[in-house]
Amino acid sequence: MANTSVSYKCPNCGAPLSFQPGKKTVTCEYCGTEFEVAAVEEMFQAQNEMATVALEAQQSKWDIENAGGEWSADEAATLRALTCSSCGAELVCDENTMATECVYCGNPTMIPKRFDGKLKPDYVIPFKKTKADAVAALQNFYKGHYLLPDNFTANNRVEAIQPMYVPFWLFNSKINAQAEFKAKRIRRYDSGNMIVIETKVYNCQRAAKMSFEKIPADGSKKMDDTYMESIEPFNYSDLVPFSTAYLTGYLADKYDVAAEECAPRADKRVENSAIDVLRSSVKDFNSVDMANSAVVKEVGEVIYALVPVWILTTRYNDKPYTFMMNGQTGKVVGTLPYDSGKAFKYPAIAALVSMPVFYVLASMFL
Amino acid sequence: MIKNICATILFFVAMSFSVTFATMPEELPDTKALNLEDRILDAAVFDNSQTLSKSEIQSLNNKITPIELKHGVRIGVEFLKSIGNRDIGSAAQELLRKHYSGGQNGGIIFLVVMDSRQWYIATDSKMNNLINENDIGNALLPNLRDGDYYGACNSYIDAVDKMLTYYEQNGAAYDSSAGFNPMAAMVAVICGIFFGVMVRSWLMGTMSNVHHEVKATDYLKRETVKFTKNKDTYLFTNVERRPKPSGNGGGGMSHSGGGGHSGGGGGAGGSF
Repeated sequence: MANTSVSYKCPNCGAPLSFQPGKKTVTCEYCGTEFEVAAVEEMFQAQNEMATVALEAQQSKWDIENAGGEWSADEAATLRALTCSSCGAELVCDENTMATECVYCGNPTMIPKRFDGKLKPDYVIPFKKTKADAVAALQNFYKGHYLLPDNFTANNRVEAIQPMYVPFWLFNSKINAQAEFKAKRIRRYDSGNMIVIETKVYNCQRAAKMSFEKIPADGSKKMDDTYMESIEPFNYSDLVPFSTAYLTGYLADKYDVAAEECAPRADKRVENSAIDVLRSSVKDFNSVDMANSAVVKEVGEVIYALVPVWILTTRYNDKPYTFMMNGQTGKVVGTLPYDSGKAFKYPAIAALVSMPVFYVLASMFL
Repeated sequence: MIKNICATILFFVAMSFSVTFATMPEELPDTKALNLEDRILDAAVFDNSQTLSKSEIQSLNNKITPIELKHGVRIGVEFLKSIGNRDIGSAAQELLRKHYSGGQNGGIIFLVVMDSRQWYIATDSKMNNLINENDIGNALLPNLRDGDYYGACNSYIDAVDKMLTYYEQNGAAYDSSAGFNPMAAMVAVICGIFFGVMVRSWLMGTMSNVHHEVKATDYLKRETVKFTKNKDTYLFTNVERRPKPSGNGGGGMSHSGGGGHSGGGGGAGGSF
């Protein structure tokens, strides 16, 4: 049976190859042989092509009516069965998986069909942070949170740590923004026994051209948009042309949210920032309120890229807590559980301690 | 010619007198020397505004004398028709200095000016350490507002006696604010609870750093920003006039602590 996936194995010793965060080469962890990214790409090109053909052949035979009663039609449509080229085990993944790991032998596995043609990302930001960095960053993230349950940190074990390349659309846009502001200049002075407050009202018109570069919007339904926006920003100086070599040893998904669907999010962010730029030029006024605005996009380009994210899952009181770390910058985001007792105790202490102070202050006026 | 020179000299003399009088503080009535029929020499109460009856004055004098002897202080009460444009605080301090100084433990005066409906309690430096002028003011203000001037004087004398006794027993000046203030306590509880809620809200907020990013400022290429329009047009002006808040308005009290007036005394006063 032809392999429908490709395992990136060391040509020297046959051990799995992994891209090491922070390095520019792909290294065999077992024999220490290092390979240039381009060399790895060339080595496995032929295998990728064969695996693509094999997968197409298998997909053409896919018949959900013969799948029995176990899977619904919807489920079957999203599941794909692959064979591990290393141990021959059957791997099941969803329709968006580009790179995964064999659950039996741990071999890094690519599904080349998923980054063919238009599906091929333009760029990738390689992982810079290791698994150890992610665990250390998560432990550090727990610090300084007064409401964190004591037994959360004491008994905490990270249940799962997954490095994943998440598909992102990067939007470049040149815009022409214009806005009208109602601005007030207030002067206060004494005149005899009266206080005079003079408010001069102005109409301030501003227009400017400006460019935004690589505004990110994740193209994956699996990933929470809020989490993905929270791990920003990315340093695009590390952006390199896409190569499958960077994916070896990591999970990777292709996009399942089209650029057109993500564009309104990017447009709204551009609009907000453009208005801020215009507003910041309305100076020497006591108050500035926007009356109306218009932002016209003159040029809009989209880049398809993969960005590195560590997904860390832990469990507390049978409830999973997911944290995400920017695999490039190390920024950790997530929502921690809180101790209800502490959430009552600390504010109550603050209230009780502050009451005497408020009493003294109130006594001065009452 | 001589006539013109004399006229010029007279004009300048007249001008210099008017300037001198304008800059000098107005003379207060000499309450000791001029009106002996209305007050007994060295007595504590004087009234040139016919506010108090003679029997009331006598009664107050009789009440003040034993208190003065008991505490070794001078206690004065003065009702004046007018003090012109003078500041009531400085007028009270002047009267205190002139007529109620010399008490072993200090002196105090309660001055009421009838035309401007102002009152003031002034103390010298010694008395200022023994009593609280604001508390005395609080004790007599309800009577003053009711037009019960005799009652206000009695409240004043009683309050002075009470505070001096308190000082002698406790070694510290009586301060009503040191007692329990239910209104302040209620405000403190409400503010404390509000503060607690704010603290809880802040603490809960620190448990998550997941939020939507609404701006793209990190991705703006600053060097590409080119303004094509930058125009400010004046539209109109709104003018609002408010009366200045009055320092003594509404019967409120102003207070200057030790050192507020010459001699290191203190005072409290207001309108009624």
